[in-house]
Amino acid sequence: MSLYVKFWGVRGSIPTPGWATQRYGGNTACVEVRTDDTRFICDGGTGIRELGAAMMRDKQDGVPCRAHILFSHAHWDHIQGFPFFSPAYLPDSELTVYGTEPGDDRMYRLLSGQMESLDYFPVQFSDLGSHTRSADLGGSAKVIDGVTVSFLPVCHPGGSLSYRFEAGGRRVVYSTDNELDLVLENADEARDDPTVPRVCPESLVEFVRGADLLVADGQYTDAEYRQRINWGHSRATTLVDLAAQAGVKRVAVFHHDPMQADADVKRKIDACKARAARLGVSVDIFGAREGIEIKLPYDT
Amino acid sequence: MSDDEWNSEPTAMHRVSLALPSDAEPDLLEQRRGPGAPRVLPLLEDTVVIGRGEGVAIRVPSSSVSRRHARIERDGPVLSITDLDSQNGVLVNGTAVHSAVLCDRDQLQLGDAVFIFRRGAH
Repeated sequence: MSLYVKFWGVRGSIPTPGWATQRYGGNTACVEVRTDDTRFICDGGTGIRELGAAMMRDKQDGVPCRAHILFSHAHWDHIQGFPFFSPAYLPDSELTVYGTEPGDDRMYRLLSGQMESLDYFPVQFSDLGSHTRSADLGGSAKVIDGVTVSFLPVCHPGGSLSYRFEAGGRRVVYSTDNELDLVLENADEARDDPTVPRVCPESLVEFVRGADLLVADGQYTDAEYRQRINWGHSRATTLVDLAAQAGVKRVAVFHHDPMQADADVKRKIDACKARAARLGVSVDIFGAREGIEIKLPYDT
Repeated sequence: MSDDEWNSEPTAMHRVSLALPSDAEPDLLEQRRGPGAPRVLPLLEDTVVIGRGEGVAIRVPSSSVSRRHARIERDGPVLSITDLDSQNGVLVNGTAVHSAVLCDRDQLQLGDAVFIFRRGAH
């Protein structure tokens, strides 16, 4: 068995199609985490449209359209692709949208709310053909088809949730839209002097500890962040410190700023690698890019 | 990779299929390092396997390359590479991946073999 992580949308805030973003991609947040027989979808930004198309192709080969969908939050760049998610229109699709606490259907309501008025979109949520239901993670964690899914609230205007997937000793964490720099134990010092080690909050360190892959908000360069404090996103370089404190093996820098062309994203990743080298941190850090899939094999 | 660097090396053309449409420039792999380099390999088939074993479309006789190391597939205009459970994995621009959609000028590393993917004009 294996855990697979595939990037369908890696951009933050707003889709950015065009020549300048071809390499990393311009679709907004959508990451697929799956085992050989169960599919999880993290966020429904515009990348979910392509994922839906892939699921439709798989369906022709007999693979049912089933997915467990987890939203970090309901800001536009995380839900705007759902109305274009083809499986949602199929009567035999089974889609489950998760809340966190028992009975929590807030995400389901927010998702359906964007399709309640024909003023915004020509199809109403109630007219979708699929079997879409609300479920929850039981307040802490839930085992879904052998995968333990847990969550952690993180720092973002309006709130955001990180998710952890564990199976067969493998651990993947999806942690986007988190202004980690704002909640550092030494936030003031780290903001004034970017060279000092940044002390991450213990709750987050424990949540990501030992992750084989951490997909995390690294929207800004150090220079950009100085102009965007309190906007809800992290310096990419801070992920190096988080990885070091939590023993993370690989980091995918995610939620690229819409103003960053491919060359800018590459420079941002190079800065992360330089920080890792300077701090003596052994971590594989790369820029999340549409169309890349990572495989994490495990024994059952 | 600079244009100067691109132009500076002698290359040999190895075609992995017979016919090129007269009005199209094919997608290419340029092998930069490893046994067989330098050479240019037009990707004319919908599926191309790279490895050191007999019977693959692009053969790289290196102990660091698995017999069937990776597969490049075309799906409409999109080309992607998939690791066929190789010993040393597939690196795209230095990142180890199971699979990846390819972009122009991506660097692909399979063992000690290094290729540059060049998007053709269709």
